Amino acid sequence: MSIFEDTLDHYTSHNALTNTNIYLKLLFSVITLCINLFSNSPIMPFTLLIIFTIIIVGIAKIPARFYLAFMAVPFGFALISIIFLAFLGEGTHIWNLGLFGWGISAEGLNRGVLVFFKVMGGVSALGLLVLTTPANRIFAVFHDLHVPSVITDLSILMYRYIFLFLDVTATMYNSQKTRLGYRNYSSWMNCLATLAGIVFIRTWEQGEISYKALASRGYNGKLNMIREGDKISELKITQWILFIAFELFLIAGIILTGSINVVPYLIH
Amino acid sequence: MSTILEAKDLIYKYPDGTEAIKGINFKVEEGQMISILGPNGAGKSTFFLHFNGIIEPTSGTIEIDGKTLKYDKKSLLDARSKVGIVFQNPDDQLFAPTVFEDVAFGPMNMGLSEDEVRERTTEAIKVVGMAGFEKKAPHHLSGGQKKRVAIAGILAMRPRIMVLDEPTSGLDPNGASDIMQLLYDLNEDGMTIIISTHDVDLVPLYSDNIHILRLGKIIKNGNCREVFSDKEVVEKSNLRLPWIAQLFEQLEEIDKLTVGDKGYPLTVQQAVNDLMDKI
Repeated sequence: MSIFEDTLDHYTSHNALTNTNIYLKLLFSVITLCINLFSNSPIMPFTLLIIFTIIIVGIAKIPARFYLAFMAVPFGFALISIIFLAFLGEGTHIWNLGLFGWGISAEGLNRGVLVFFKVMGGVSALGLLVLTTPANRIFAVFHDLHVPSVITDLSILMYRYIFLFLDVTATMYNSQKTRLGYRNYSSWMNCLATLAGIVFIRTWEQGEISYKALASRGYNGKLNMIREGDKISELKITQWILFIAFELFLIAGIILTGSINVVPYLIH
Repeated sequence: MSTILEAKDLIYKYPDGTEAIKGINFKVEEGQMISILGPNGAGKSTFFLHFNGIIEPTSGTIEIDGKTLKYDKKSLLDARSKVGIVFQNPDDQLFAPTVFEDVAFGPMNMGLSEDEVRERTTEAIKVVGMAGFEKKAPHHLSGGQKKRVAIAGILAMRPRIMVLDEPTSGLDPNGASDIMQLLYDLNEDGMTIIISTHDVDLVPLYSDNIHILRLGKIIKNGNCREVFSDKEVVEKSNLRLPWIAQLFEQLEEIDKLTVGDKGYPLTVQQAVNDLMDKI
């Protein structure tokens, strides 16, 4: 199944932290993400980025190339926000563009850098959960958190069929190309429209037959799944201590670094 | 032996009025291994979906264990735990994020305790030779592996009858004979098995009873030698003789060499025996 070798889904089930209790990863990621939002200085978010990158690449053994690709999207957005915030900030300019009186102010630059590192730190924290946890365990957490079963059932079915339709789409795309589809702009438009249409029809057919297959095994409108998740009670005391110590370190860091900024305020 | 599944005067019309099944009478004894052969579009899959009440016949009845199948929720659930259907394309059947969860789905619906479900699931996965793949996602498996998991999903429900729609289609030769061997072993252990197939070379190795379905009707049934010696039926149904039988057909027609007295041998083993007798 080569087309699925280099996907997020592949790495979630093939890394050194796959079998770590999901609640540990969940707490680490989500609580850290939330506390991170309170920082006023880019120092702690930057530290988080370093720490989580080390955990993801060094401990979980996610290939660095894949991790970089994963981080590239938030990086792009964060970079744009630095530029906008730097130019839109109030106060005296420390650098002038020389056009329409636009320039960068110290306050704007500081805010931009802060937002940039908050985003990158937060995403890397969330990356720990997203990159190392197979989807079925996330569904198990949905169940534990009493998310309505309609939502969980739908996510389970969608998750499975995304891959099936990726496969169908890839096969059809190749078969169109084999017969010289996509050779110029108008053919490209045509082929893509046909592909989309056919995939839609296939989805419809697949829905019918999948329902029959599920019904053959006693499906009655609700997916009765065996839950293969971890329990929060299975967390060891050392793991709790590690988690709490880390969050305390984070809070202390945020308080101590206060609003230390990259650009001192009073440069003129 | 008692009759475990019976179809009486089964007729099914599609919503547009075309008749897919045109009056089938079909009887399965407990412990049999039955093959249903027929050309594409003969109605095999539609016929199978009647066995556990997925399709309700336009007229006629299905009897499981002597009881006429009713179409209320409880009877259907009961029918589906007695008659398991393995679909032709395993991708139609596998839906769960992992192999273990998928195989456990059927037993969970039967309302068994979680321990029992886990035990059955582990056992079924082991029987089909997929132990060690429990935590894999279905889209990371090969075609043959998916087929095995699909079979395990039904096996875990411990049905009395297992119905398989073309279990060997799309598999490599080794994979196909592995699956057939697995079915044969299950049959030895007492499970009634009904399969549909085009593979005339594999069928005589395993089946004791063949039905030929064509245009919604069973046009011939009997043991392998009886059915395959009816040339007209075999030809009409887009089937052919097994390769080994074709060899002996040629030998007889051209070289006037006749072996055995019950028609052409259908498997390599039969051919060897018949030849040894001749010599």
